[in-house]
Amino acid sequence: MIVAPGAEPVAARGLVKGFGALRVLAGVDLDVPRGSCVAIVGPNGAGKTTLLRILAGISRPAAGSVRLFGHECSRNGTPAPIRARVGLVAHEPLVYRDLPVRANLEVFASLYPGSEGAATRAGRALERFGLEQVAERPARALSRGFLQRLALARATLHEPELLLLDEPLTGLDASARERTLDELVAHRARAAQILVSHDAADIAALATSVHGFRRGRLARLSDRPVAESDARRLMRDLGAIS
Amino acid sequence: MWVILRKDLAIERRTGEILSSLLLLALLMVLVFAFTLEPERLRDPGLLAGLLWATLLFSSTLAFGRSVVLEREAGAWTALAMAPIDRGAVFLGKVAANLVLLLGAAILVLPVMAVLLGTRALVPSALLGLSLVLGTTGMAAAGTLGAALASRTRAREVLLPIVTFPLLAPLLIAVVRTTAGGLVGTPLVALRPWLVLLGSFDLVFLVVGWLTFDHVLED
Repeated sequence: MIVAPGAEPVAARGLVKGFGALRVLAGVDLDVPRGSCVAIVGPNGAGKTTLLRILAGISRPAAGSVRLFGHECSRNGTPAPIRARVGLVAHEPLVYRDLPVRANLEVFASLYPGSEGAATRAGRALERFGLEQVAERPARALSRGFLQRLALARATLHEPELLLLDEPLTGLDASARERTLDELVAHRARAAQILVSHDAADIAALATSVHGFRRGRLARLSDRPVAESDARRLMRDLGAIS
Repeated sequence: MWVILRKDLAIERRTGEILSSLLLLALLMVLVFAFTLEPERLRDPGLLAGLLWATLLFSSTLAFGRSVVLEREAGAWTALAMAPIDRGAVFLGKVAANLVLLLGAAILVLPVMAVLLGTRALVPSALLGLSLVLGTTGMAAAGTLGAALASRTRAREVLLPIVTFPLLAPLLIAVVRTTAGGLVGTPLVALRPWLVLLGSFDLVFLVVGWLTFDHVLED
């Protein structure tokens, strides 16, 4: 596998994806450079989550190409070394509900290469997202907020260079939200992020540019960070919020 | 593979869901057989072997279904699909975990069955052990693959037996013969063709599952 050094984390061209007769993506182009957080907005069903799943390598497009870190991933799937550089926070927490928080993180840490052991990396993730107090509690017994923190800890414990975030701050209380925002902003400086959100405050706090879905295609709405009121206006124009 | 096996067994140790439901259903089936079949016929080791594998077949469906549900429940399977590991190893890990549970159930159910059904002879032999290992391995491989495929559909509970039972027909024919032979102390070499069939079945399903699981894990 040849990976160009310094290649852009995401370069997608002409992505098409449908479910039966419904065409969700109708030629999506997207570039995400390092050090950026691209916000993607649009109404429900516009194709935001479908796009994230394609970029995460768990769904393949019907047409078009995805290059992750310079490697073509749409035809033969995303190879393991590229998967190691990607993280995903999805609607679901993507954890085992019957395992305790610490055990969950250790399982996922042990699936990723690293110079430190799985227990060390899991311990650091617990600390980073304030999960120490619930470390031995099964994920099934966690509140919505703690479950979201666990999802964030799992997605970031291998220090991904591309982080895909689908409503990452849902259910967090004010202090956890602040702490998580600090973590994500620090992460953005050394990686790339794609943020899907309906929350104007999240977009204002994290995004360095904003794209919106229109009839299955992505349109660039802003090249720079936006204020909360502008993010709200952009989403209202797309019908993403009322 | 070992991470997946350890993880599945850790979950089972905490919940006990799969083994307990597997044993409970198996016990209920044995009781039904004991009450409904003629006592004279139940003394036939061939019939005991058939009943044992029928019991394991039906109760294993619960185990396979549950082992996939715990992956799908909170989307953990998506996280596994994204991890930089051979996706075929995920399949082998799941098979290994199901094998441990199924083999454990078989070892516990067989003597209970022999006692309740009043079977005359139960001779532990190499052939019996080999039959149990090869039979449960094939069942775990085909069942895990079938459960994973069925879990992508809405009618997964109905689809799982429809997909796996016909696939398992050759395995069942072979393993009932070798188990019956094992119960009465038939020499291993006398049933060699059936053992080769069992081994081949296991190998085919392990390889097919390992090669195709990449696509099973994707949308």
